[in-house]
Amino acid sequence: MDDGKREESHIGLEQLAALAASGRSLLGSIKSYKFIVDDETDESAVTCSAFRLLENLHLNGPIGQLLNETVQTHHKLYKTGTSSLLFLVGAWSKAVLNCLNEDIPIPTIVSVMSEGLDNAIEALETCQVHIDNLLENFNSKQNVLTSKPGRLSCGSDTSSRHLITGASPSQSKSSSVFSGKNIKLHLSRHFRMSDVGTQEEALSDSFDESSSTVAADCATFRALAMSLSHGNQSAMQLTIEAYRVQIQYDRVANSVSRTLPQFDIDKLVTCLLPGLPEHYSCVNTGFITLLSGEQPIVVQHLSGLSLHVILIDGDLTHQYHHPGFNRVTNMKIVAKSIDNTFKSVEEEWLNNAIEIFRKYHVNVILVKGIASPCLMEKCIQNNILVIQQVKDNVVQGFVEATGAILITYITQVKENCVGTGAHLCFWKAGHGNSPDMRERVAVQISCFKIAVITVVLCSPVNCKLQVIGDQLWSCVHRLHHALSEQRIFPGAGATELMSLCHLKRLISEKAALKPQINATDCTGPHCSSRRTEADVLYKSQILQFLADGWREYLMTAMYNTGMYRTPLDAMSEVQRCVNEDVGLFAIIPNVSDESTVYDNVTVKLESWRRALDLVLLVLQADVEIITGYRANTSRLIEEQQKQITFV
Amino acid sequence: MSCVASETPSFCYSGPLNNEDVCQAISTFRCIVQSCYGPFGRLKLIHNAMGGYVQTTSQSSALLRSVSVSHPVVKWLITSVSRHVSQFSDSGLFTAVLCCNLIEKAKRCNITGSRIVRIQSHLLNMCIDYLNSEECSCRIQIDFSHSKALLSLVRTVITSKPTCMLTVKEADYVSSLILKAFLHTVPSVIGEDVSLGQTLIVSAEGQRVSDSRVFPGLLIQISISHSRTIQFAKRTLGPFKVALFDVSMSGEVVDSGIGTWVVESGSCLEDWSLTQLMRVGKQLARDQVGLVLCQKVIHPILKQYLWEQDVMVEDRLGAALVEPLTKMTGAESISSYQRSIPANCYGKLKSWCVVKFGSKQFLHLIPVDDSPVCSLLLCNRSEAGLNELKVVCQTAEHVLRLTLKQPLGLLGGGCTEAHLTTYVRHKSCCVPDDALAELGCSRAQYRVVADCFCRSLDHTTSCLEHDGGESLVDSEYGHRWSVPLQTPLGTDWSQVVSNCACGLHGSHQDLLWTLLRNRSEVVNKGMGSAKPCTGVLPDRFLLDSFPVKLNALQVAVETANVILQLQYVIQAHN
Repeated sequence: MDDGKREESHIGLEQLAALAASGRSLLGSIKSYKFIVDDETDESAVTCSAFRLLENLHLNGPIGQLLNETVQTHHKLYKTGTSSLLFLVGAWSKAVLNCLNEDIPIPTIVSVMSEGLDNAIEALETCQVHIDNLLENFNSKQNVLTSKPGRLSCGSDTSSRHLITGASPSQSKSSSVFSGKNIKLHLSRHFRMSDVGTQEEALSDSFDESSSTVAADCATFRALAMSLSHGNQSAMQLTIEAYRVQIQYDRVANSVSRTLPQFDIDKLVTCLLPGLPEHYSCVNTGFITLLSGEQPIVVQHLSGLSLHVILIDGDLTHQYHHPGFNRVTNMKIVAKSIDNTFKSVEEEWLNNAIEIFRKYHVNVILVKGIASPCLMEKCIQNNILVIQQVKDNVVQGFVEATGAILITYITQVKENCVGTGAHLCFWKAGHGNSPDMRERVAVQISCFKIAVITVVLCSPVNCKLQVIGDQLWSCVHRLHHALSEQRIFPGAGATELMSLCHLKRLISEKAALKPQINATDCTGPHCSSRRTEADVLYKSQILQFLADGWREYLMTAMYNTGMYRTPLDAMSEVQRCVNEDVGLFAIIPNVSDESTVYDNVTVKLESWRRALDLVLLVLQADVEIITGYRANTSRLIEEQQKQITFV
Repeated sequence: MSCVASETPSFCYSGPLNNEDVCQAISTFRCIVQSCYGPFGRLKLIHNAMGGYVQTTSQSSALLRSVSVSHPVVKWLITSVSRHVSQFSDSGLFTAVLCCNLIEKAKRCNITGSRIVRIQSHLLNMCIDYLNSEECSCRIQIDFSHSKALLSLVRTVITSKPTCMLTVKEADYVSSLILKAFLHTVPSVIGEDVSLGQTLIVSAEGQRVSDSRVFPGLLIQISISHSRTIQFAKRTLGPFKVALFDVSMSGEVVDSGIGTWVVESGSCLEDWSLTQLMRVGKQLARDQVGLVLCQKVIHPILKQYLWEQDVMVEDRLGAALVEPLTKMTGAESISSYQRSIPANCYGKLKSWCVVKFGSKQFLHLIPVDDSPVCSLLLCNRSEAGLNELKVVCQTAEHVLRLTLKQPLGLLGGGCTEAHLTTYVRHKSCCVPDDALAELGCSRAQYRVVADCFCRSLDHTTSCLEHDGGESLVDSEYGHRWSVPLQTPLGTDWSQVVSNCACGLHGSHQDLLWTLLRNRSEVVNKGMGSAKPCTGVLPDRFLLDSFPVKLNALQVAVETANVILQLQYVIQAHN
């Protein structure tokens, strides 16, 4: 029981903090892109999100693996919020290291930190804003406020970039800064009556009728969606369009009564077109894909016709068998006579397939796997379009929209397997012309019912396409979560600041920390002992370090906006707000057009919880056990691995 | 090409415990295992040298599997402990630590191995007799009419693994779910042919622990597109027939044997299989079966036909689901599609529905009446926590089954062990002379070995402390009390402590405490007349399973005895 500081430190936590530090510049809406280069293979990737960063880094070692796993799991579920997660992991690792330096026992750190986080989350329950209230707010308040709290006066005195003083938190929350300026919609051809083709007639009539009701939602809804975009304005605009297209169709087809139904993201796909300018990006109903070779000729023949579609599960080759089927390998085929000309199995299959296609007048085949090249050639000769490697959700969309049944073998095709009601044409960009993409052509297949909604993303820079795609999905999911939960948090650091103020109150209130005599708590580590003064001291120290995590988060996010000269300026601003106990206040300055910023509820809270869980898990791990064998090249005898300890 | 190599003679050495390497290996193994012991133990990160999945755990089964040792003696120790774990699921770490302690401490006392072994066997029998007797004050009779003891039993197992990262409320909730699921599997009608049902554990990662639920019947995971398709399926009201196949219906020719098939061109073996399958399909449609289940794959053409006849099809269920399906539906699994299906092979189900949990979708099959099969859907935020929680739940279920057979518990938290050593120390002072003569040792030797035994057990108990705290033992009950770091040794313990580790006894004026690790002689007032545990049990206390703990003690002592008696190790090299 010495009083000296612990000399050795927790290596696991240090590794975690070091790995997480790589994502510092990704925090906030102004992100710095990162180039990741492989020294050996010279491959490179560019990214501005945490999950892509970790995906591309070769993380060997268990800590890196655990971090990667946590971030990828979060991304898989929510598709947004990974940069915050990564940052908080690093910040809280440092906080726990500080706790260890103060000789605080590990179970105390674990229980007090978890409790502190739960406490802070509970306190935020009341801060959630209901979407309906927000829409009303946006609708009613049409005035443009000249002095917007939370915005800095740019271009003014560089030394003191302070927020406008005297702005109370309540004022900032309820003030709607929706300015009512003319919103320039990034229009798809659905909103321009002149360009409506024949196949969209059904849809356009409905547009005329319900356009008035849509417009009412339009402006307020747009403001809400943009507030969730966090700087990705173009991506969010595309998202808004995709959603509007979907609810238009839903209103017509199903007469949905709710004003803002859920966003069915299963029906959304992206089509990445490199080499085109970014403003060509748009939203279209139907499935858009790239074709090459001689297929565009087929498209020309088929455009305007009412199509018959079949959908194939698996590969379209003569050898393909459904999974779980093993061919008999020890077989010998004997022919009794040589009368019939010997045809290979493949030829027979090809002829059979073409016959079936002719019989049922099949025009388009969508295949989940690959199709054999011979079949593709024959299909082109017969004016049948074959599209390979179609995603599951697209195929499912066509199943529902055309009434086709998903089949595995050609021989299964019957009348009821063929879908109808589809049309195809060359995809036209916004100005009505098909873009010149050299050898490749984009074709669009749409149906009377919506099978899928494709968002076409274009960029002249190839490597940026992935980034744009990620940003789109991020916006799509943010809107989806907001609509399904019906609640959002005020953003721009408001929740973090609120948690800081709450923790400060907790620490200062001695009553909350008073040891309860006779409290029998069989679950504590030293369940026999009563709580002592030492426990009170520990608790306040640990909560202080927990708060440091959020403080660093706010400081980094504020500094990343470029509005502060040094991080210390940002930190002093945070400290000032905490001292004045401002509560829910949008502290991170807003550099984009949106006036207010909002966050999703579950995404934010889950990223906090996951970050802390990971840190506490690594804290409690002390030994790494390596299994497996490594062959020793000099003696060719297998040797077993030794164990490595850390801590 | 064959390889000729000269025969290496076998390697033989005596007195394995005199070998420094062996002792070092045992000591290292003990350190690893004891650092995981208890609810505040540390976690281990287990992964392959090539990289890949990292397992974060403090489970004995995972540790014993992954720790690789080369010496046969240590290997044998690990095998012995693993056998206990495979039979009882719990107390693996306790067995391993106690065994290592016994070996290390016995080696240090200067008595021949065989004598130590005989004395230790005698001590073991003394312990077992005491624990089995009615007077043991650590024994708790588990009453199945109240949930208190059962919940404590389950909660002790659940909270013993820190990887799960459960809060107190979550631990309580999961314990109640496990108990609910277990009680579900106990059949309500006791007839001739009765057996316990089954609880299947299904995991959903990413949700909160409080989203976990128990479902009567089975949950089968399905893909999102499949769930969208079956939403439109025509549903019959009321119970429907179920057919269960455990043979592959993918149309392949099963077991084509050795040798070559000679087939005429134009005929296809697979087509013939398909004809057979379609015949079965027609019969199923005729018999108005509502759901066809298959352990393996069903041919897509047969699937398409059945869908058109409004028969729902689920395949690729896996072998693990066949038995619970049989129990739940009463269907007999059909192993061949060559013949027609007899009518008594069909089972019955009440209905089905689709359940969504996060990103996963499940088909929930609801049984007709009180069937003893249920599914426990476990959720946890992290993958590591979820995997650990799954294993812990299976352990808890196993412990409950053992409790059905023998409804006894032993107080947990180290109290039983501390009490046991107090008893052994007390009894070893008054061993009758004829017993000593039988063992062939002097009284002094007996006392030395008894002291080693007790110190091993005490050391194992004190391994529950990982953060510098101290374990104390009291003078009246002999239970363990835990105090935190930084408590100066001279303090008046009665000011610091409030309850013993298991939660049964509170502190009062007359109690005296000594440090567990330092005691050699303890003045014990209450040991003379051991009395059974009576009185009202507190709401929360720690309870271990009686058969598990007893077997753990036995395995540890017997394994140590065998190793202490080893004279020679003969190792063949090729």
